[in-house]
Amino acid sequence: MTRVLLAKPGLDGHDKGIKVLATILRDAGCEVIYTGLHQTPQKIALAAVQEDVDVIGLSMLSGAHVDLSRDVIEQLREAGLGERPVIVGGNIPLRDVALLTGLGAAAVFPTGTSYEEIIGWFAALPTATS
Amino acid sequence: MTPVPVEDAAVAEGLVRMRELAGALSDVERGGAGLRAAPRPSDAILGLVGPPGVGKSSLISALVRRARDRGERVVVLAVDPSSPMTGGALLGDRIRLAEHATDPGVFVRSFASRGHPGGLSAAIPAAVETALALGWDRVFIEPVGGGQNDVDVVACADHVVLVVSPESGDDIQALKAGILEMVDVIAINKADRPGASTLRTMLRSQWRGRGQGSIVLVSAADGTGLEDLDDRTREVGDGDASRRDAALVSAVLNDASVALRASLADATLRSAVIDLARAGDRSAAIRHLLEGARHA
Repeated sequence: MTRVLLAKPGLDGHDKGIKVLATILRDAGCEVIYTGLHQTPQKIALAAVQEDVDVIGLSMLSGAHVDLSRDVIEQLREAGLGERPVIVGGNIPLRDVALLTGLGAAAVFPTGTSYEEIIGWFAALPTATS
Repeated sequence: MTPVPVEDAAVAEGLVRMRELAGALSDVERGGAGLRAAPRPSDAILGLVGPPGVGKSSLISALVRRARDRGERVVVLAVDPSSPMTGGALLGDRIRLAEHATDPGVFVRSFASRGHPGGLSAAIPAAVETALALGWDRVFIEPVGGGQNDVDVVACADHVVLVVSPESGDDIQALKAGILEMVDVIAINKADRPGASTLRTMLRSQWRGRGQGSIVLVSAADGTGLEDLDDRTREVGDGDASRRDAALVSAVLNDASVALRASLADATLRSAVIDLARAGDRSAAIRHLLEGARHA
């Protein structure tokens, strides 16, 4: 059973996308923990520790995705969860994709990514079969 | 390694305990036995039950605040339903507990019910014991928002509060026969809204056996009645064994139904049971299932 934490870091109130994502992942058989709006990187890391999730998913439409992703990945590392995959979605310009994976994001799903692509990524996780 | 900022030192310190508990709870959820708590106070485990939307999580958040003021370290175990179609779940109880997000003395874990009836997931009883055994002081349990048969929490909590709101007036009818008989306290949340005292009058006339004083008007939003509710949930339990036993039997039956369901993973047994049930002989189907489960 794959457990996923979905979070919106920063001052971004657009949660339509993350709610759609939560629903399709639920329908794909994941246990999705949604933490709500305006999360700091530290809050996200602590929630990931407590929930012992397999994946941390960030949704950002604010333009601050590079700095916030860097901070979340750093906080997770400090919390001892450096090996858990972080995926990033939202309004991500294609030129930033390589930058985010360079920071340690396991996958980046910019605007226009299909549901199938996201579900396919989760289906390929080692936890998906357990 | 980046140095941890000074203001985060307490969080870093709490992190070790959090990771310890998080790992132990994951073991329990994978079917591990967990740890057994040494003798503990008789008010350590509080369950808050009630229909969806009445404010159980918000009320827990307010009670957690009071427990933290006393220096207690608190665990919240929150259960939401799994989809019977896909097995997936959306677990959203953390949202209402956001004010405690960076408090190293508050640990929140979300559980999916994973097909377990009765309002809890199969892991909760062992999860509660494990949290107490690892030195956390108080455990709040929030079962699936439900109705009259969701009494499993009564078997593992020291005190159980039924949370209702003025809007749930008619829904109380659905709760009458089941959980209403099993709880210690009824909290009418959102007491600032119209209809709260009318509901209290109605409940007083219907609710027998637990004493009228245990219906409390509260508001998680403005703080009304929280001290009263907090005090009542910290009194020594009345040790009502018959109620606890009834809930235990119910919980064991729920566990049994999960075990029986698992035995239906055997395709031969499953199709035989379906054939018998389809032919209209339910009792033969049940006998066959029990027989098959015994040999599984």
